[in-house]
Amino acid sequence: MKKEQTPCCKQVADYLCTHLDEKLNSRNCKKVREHIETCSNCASLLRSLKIIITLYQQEPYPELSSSEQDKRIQKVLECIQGMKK
Amino acid sequence: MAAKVRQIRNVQEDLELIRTAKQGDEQSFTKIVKKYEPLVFSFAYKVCRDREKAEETLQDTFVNVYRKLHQFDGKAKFSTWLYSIVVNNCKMKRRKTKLAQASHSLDGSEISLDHHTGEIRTLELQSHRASPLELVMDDELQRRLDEAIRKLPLEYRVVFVLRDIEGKSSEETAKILKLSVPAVKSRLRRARLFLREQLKDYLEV
Repeated sequence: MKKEQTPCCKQVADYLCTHLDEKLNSRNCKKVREHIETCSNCASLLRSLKIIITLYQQEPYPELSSSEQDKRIQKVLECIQGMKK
Repeated sequence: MAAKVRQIRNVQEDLELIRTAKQGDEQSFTKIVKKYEPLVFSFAYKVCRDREKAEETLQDTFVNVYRKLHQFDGKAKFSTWLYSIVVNNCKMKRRKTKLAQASHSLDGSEISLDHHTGEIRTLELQSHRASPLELVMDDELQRRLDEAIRKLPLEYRVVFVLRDIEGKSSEETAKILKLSVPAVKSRLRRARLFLREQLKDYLEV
């Protein structure tokens, strides 16, 4: 994004998708913020990106069974022993 | 301050375990496995999106850690080195299962932007009513999230998982993947736009 230009939607979209979670305080960042305040499309893009990231962070993931930890470690050690032979 | 001290102690503890494991101490190696298996499994699952594959990746990763431990010089964090081994194992697994064939291209027009007019061509940026609080993480939503991220090619998926789910910085992600920081940012941008495109209908409900 050129410093003295007013950013267009494409530039704002690129900027948001690249720098979304970064704490930036540059002139470009200020311009992007100003653009978003007046552009519903880009405001919507920002909102949806934040939602998507939050959803993936909140998605439940399976956990390893702690009672089978010894068995898993044993398997790894057996593979290693097998390699040594 | 206390967190920093804990972090330093953690690094020192890792270095000591690695030092003794390199000398052949099986107990030290077992301690490393016990400490890091939740991280490896969780990350492998987020990338592979399959429990069985994640468990296989877990085993392969620690076998590779043992094999390559002498190469770890302590310049990077142990977890950074470990992540890169997990990524390599996930890539190997993908090659074996030909997952790549099912991946979508990110170079197509589905998420492209019109460079002449500066308008977003196919993103159809409409107002969204949903918010994380309004969207309940039910089975349907989980299925949609899973479907969308599975379509994301592995090289982009890994960047998205590391940056947006695991919370790694661009710099650490670059070290893990042996990429430049601009390359990480570029892949992250495409990954975010791709997922947004895949999920936009659901978010608009």
